[in-house]
Amino acid sequence: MATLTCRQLVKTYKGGQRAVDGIDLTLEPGELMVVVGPSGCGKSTFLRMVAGLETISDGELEIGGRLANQLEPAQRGVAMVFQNYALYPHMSVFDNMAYALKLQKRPREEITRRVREAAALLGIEALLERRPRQLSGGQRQRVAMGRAIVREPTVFLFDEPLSNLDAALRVQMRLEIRRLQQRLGASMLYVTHDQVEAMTLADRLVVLRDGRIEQIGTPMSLFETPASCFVARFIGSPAMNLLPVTHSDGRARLPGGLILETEALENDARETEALETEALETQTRAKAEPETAARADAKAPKRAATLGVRPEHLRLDPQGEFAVTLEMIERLGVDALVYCRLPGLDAPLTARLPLATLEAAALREGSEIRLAVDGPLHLFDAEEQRLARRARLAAETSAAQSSVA
Amino acid sequence: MRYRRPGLDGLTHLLLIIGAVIFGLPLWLALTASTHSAADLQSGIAPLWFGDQGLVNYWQLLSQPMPGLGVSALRLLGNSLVMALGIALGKIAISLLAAYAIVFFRFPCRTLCFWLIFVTLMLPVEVRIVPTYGVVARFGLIDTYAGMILPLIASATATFLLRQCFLSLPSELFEAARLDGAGPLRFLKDFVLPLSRTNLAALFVIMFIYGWNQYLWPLLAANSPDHATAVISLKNLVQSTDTLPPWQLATAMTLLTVLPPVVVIVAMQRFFVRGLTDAEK
Repeated sequence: MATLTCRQLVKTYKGGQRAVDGIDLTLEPGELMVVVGPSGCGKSTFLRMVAGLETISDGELEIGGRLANQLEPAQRGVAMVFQNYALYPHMSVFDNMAYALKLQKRPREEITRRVREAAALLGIEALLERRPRQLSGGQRQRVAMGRAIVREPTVFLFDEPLSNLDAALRVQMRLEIRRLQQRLGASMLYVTHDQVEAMTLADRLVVLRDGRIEQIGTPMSLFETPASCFVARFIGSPAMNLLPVTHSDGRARLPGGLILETEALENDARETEALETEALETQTRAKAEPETAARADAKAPKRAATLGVRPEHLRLDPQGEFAVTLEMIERLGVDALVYCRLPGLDAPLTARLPLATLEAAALREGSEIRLAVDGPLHLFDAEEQRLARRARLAAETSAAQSSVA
Repeated sequence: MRYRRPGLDGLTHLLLIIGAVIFGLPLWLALTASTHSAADLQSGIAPLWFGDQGLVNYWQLLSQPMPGLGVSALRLLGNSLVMALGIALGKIAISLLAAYAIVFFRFPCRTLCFWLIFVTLMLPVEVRIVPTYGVVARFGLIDTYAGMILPLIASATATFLLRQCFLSLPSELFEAARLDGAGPLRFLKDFVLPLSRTNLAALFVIMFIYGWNQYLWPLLAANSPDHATAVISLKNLVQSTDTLPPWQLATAMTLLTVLPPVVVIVAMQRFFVRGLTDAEK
């Protein structure tokens, strides 16, 4: 039985604005699901709807097998950790954690026991008598989690809980949340805008955009096969290079005149029937007709599309497809981010290269270099939806040697 | 802001001393005058030092009925205390609930309600005295404590002050409490009251003094000497008889009347200052 099920959850504000626009998802027991998206994508609203802090305009919300649409927040069996912790400033840490149990009129011994257990789990036993004001950011965060744990909820809800912490502490708390989740076997719904947090924490990742689910899956599946340009840009750091191309008949033409053989990609695209689009069908039909290349070009007009390649999947290669001008280097330690200008393109092409390679080739700003694709390439259609999955372009095209026109 | 200028320090101290003297002199005169006999005070010269009749005067004031009114000073002070406390607590109770409703509940015409309360700032008792008297009289509340207190306990100022205070509480606090199972009244009791403690204390001091100093309304609403207040008695003392006014009693009564507000301020000073300057949040 799922811990939490959403069916076509909708939040409409006065004036018809839809903050959450039909979310379907199920949270399995013991699963940590991260909802990620840019600010204003409706992720916090969605979490607050689950918590009961926002009313549900339409759709169904089930928590622990019970329809929860109309339940009071306290009756839903959820506990929430807020971004600013929302600790009760006038109560001691102990009282903060015990408050919910006191309201439930639990016996005093049980309250003490449960608070002490949670405090031990989080390593904050020594702080129980203190006031929130006397705690550091990390300690407050822990108390906020303790307050949630004490209630033994069906689902934990986290609303960007780490965004008020400094970078080092954020990493530490991230690990701690993960460890805690595994120890408690707790089901968690975790909202963040930080894609690193999302990748590292999630069992499953939900990418939201304008109140809709853009893609849902394990972090690695989203990284490897993003369903759209949006997901491709959002997951992975630095973001995937997205190059506008016109493509037809197995060739992708870049604005600068560079032509890439992408037949393999398009074959892949045809195989992914589930994602097949109308545009794709016309393309197949066009291809089937035995016509001259020129006619085919006219019949199947060059379609605008987007070609994606991750910075990690570009390598320095004198035979490489991309002839670029190196514009800027950011040294990260082991690796370096290299921003290059591709003729005819506004956005820079980013490559992540080992620093050693860079030093060996004595590259500096202004160098003319060639980059080869060494890894999956992604093709998206004009609507920025995925056309092709994980094509190993390099292997197929190395023989063809695409050329600069 | 802190300047380190020794010359300025001297000047500011001088100004403060002058101010203190200007404020203190009348009180000092009242204090010394209350220790002289009636005959001493008829000379027309205000004594600047204590006389030898202090104990006699105060004993007379506290043990015998006040000339002209026929009730003891203690009774008058008691009446004042009841009225001032009633007004202060009543104002706080009403404006607390009003501000709580306006800040934490979403209901139709919420803003309109707030502004309606706000415009009552322009309608103090002095402006609506005739209709208010009519209403109180018809309810049969003339010469009762309720009649003295009730018309004065609606307060736009206090509502406004508390609204600002509540608005500064983070909304997550309310939400976290809701998730923990606290209903509206419990939230009021467990969160809003303790967190606005200092503001409430400051408000209490201000409203207590406001209530204590009321003159016009109790003059109308309390006709019988049984319900007269200390402030009203001061007027009666110097006016009531055909003979010369008993100045030694009037000044003594003045001092007694000044005392309770001073006690309240000193007792609440800690909260009072903190509540007006910074909210501990």
